[in-house]
Amino acid sequence: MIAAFAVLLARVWGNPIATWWNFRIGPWIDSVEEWIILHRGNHWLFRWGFDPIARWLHNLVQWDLNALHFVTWPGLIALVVVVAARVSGIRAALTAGAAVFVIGGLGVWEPAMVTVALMLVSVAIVLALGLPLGILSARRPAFERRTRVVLDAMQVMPAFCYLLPCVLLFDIGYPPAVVATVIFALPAAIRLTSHGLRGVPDRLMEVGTAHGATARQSLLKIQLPVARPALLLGINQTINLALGIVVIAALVGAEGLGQEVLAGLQHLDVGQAFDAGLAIVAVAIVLDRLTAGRPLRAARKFRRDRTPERARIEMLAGAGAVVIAIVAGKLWSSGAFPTSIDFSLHDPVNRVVEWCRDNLRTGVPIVGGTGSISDFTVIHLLDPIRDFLTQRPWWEVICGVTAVAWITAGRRVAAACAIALLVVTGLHADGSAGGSIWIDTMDTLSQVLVAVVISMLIALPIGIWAGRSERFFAAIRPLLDAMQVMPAFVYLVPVIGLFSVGRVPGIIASVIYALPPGIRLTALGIREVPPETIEAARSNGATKFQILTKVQLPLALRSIMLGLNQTILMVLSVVVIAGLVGGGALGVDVVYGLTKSELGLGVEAGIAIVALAVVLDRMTQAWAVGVRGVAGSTRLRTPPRAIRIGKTKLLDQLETA
Amino acid sequence: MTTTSGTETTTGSLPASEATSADTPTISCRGVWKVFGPHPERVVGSADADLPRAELEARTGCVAAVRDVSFDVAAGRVFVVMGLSGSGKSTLVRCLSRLIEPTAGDVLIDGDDTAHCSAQWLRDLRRDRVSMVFQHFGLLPHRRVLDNVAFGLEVQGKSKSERHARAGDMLDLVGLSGLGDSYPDELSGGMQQRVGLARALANDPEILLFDEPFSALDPLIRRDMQDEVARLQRELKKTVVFITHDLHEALKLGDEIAIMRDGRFVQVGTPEAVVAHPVDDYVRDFVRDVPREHVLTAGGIMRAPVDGEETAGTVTETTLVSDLLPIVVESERPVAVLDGDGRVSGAVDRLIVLRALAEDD
Repeated sequence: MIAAFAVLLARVWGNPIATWWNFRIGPWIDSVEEWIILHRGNHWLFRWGFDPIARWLHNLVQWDLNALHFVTWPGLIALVVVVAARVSGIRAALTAGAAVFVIGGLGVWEPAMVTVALMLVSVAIVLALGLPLGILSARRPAFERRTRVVLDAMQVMPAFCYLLPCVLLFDIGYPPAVVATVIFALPAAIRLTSHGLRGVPDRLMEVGTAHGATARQSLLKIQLPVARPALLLGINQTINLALGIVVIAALVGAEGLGQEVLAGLQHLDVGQAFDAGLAIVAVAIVLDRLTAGRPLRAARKFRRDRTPERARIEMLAGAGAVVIAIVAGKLWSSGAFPTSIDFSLHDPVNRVVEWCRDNLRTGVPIVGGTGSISDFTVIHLLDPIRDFLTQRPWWEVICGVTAVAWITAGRRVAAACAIALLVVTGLHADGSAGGSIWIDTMDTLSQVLVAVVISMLIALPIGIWAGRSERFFAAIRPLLDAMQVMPAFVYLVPVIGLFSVGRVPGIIASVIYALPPGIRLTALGIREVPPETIEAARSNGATKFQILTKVQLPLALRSIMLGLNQTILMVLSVVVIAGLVGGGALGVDVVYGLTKSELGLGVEAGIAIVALAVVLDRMTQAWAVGVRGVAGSTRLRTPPRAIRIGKTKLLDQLETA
Repeated sequence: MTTTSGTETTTGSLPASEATSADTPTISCRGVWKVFGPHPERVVGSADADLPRAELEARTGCVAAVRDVSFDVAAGRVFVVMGLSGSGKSTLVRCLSRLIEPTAGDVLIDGDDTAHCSAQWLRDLRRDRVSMVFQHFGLLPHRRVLDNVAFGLEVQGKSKSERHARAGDMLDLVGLSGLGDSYPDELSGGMQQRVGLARALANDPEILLFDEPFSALDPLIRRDMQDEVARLQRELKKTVVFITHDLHEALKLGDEIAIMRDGRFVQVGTPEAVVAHPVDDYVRDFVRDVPREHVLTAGGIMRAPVDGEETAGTVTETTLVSDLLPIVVESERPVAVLDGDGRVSGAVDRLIVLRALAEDD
């Protein structure tokens, strides 16, 4: 055995790539693609399967789009204000109305309507599937167990990986965008529903049984209403996730705001991308206000004050306002958003970018300018790591990773890591480095590692501070929320302005995108250290620093580890976007495969990203589980009476689920 | 099982139920077992079942929460099950309405066996005849107090106006008039449990089950609530099974008390019998701190009357020893004890009273 192994090693000794096997996944995908292109028009699978679905989805989106055009922009503002006022209260309604107006003023009304139409269809489908499945998995543990693996895979896999097959099956346009969004947001919808329902305590369910309620009555009268706040937050969260992916769907020709951002990036017209990015945030605000609901106290007051007559008057007034607004919109400039209202930031942004380019690149005292920072990072950080990883023979890297996994996380995780990496060695599509996917994978890994380290270096101190200071936490929370809601594309805009293109801007964008969970979970871990424990330490005469290092940090370690895990997954999920701005490697392979119809390459690169995700996710998750302390997840069970759960908490539940 | 003589309960005022005849107990448990764990049926009646808890768990992986419990509750009576936490009392009360399925044994409600019945029959039983008051109140946080009270009626399918009218009456009954529009978390603990009580009473059940209803409340509020239950019971005459870990509560409310330990009934009897004659050290430990003069009665401690003896004054069998004390202190001669019909049934003197108070058998 050992002799045979040594012979094998000797044969491949020194070669960074495993040349002597090839899984031929890429070529196989290519042949499937070819077959599909040849048979799309006549094969039964398409005529009776995918084509009708695609047509149906396309018609739904188109119908929504027509409806949005029909109500015109004043009508839409009125509609949003009326609905938000009923659901979330007056202040939310005014914010939402203003956001709609801003979208128009940014000059992106048409693409924004496409994005909204895509969102409406996707979210409707996600909820129509997700709520019943969530109820089912809350009530049937066996169903929950069986679907867990599938849901995990759906959540970990970068959206691009299934965007590709979606395009193959549903062709370019709205349908693959909708399908990809559904795949992306469905697991969260199912999990949040099921989590919310299972958060209803047994003793309340027993009340139903004790009164002779049927299973149906228990569900409708106890479980669903008690879980309502959690369910609403779940819907809200689902919408945010969907919005993130609808934008990416621009890559498959789905138009909308994503296309605007993409075009801006491709032409290095930062102003254009900036306007569209702002509009995306505005859409996110509108959708959030439409679904957020009222806080507990306000909701009760609203319910108490609302007599039937008053409800009827409100209904009529709301409907009347919408109708009047629609008529007004029709009469005034035939419903198109007037071009005279314009607060586009296109030109000022571009001027700022130019100024930065001219003044900050080089020659800034001490730091030396962004260009110098960028060069320094590449030469002293990225290149050495990349060279180390790509020039070692593949089996050395695998053995090293497996050994680390074995020692720190146990046998099973080590096996998973080894298998995942071995799969990558058999991928030989013609990647951006001109070699096999393995080289690109190592390149991406080096960037991911650097991004994760920088993220954690920033997140830890901020998180510790936020964990110890209530005021600071309250101050940065909206910022963290915004950072996560905003599509990753948007971060690229200022980064490109400052750093041009290359690996460094990709890393910086990843860092910004990945910061919130790291900060949040660190802060959460520290905040959840029981006050009695800290009091005990203080009564023993511990200094503030001792309390931090001997009590708070050790107890928060588990939560911090989960933060590390989430940071890694976030960085991996934007590998493709980083690739767009010159990160190269796997990201660029995927984009290239997608846009140039090289699906084989795209899928192989996608598989490599998943393999990296498996390795890093499994390892860090095992670390988090292995640590004693306050678990970010276990202590976050929603108590039944805390009707208003902080959105962040739910988000973290989702992330740690 | 001891029959009570000290309390006057008239069976004549019972609501006429078609199944209730004079000799059918409203609740009847026959050899009820509840064993949690793998193959629970194997434990029932086996030699293992007599093992202490830890040994049983080590040997079979099972926990016997209720072991071979039998008792009857006559209509209109209050049966209190008392024990420390983990003694199986909450499991037992859930077996009565089959919220927990007993592993073995029969539970008969008005003579109807609950074991071999359809799900619908069981639902109807819970809807119409049995109500429960929970330790943690079990109020639904999303419903107003009024809708919480009306929950049982809603489940039955009663119309909104009908159930709201009834729920309003129930709130008046428990002293929460005008709070129907509040939400549960806006009320104090004591008020929340009043809502729980009102909800249990709303469907006018024959049987009320209380599962440690007041253990989450402050001592003062607990006493208020006990008085409230005593008052309601005087007015409504339900058949009650009351679970508690508080001996004073048990003595105050119970017509009959069962002391439960490790799933078994250690002793069943009137409050007086339990205090006066504890069967073993476990029960004796429990009742040690009870002021005996507030529980023992003349009827319980008296000796047989001696013909022709001279007595000074009379008391009835139900007179508490605390009331008897000043009388015997004043009098050298024994005091005559009269039964319900006014006939002399016994006598007490100083020595008997002192011995009863000092007794620690």
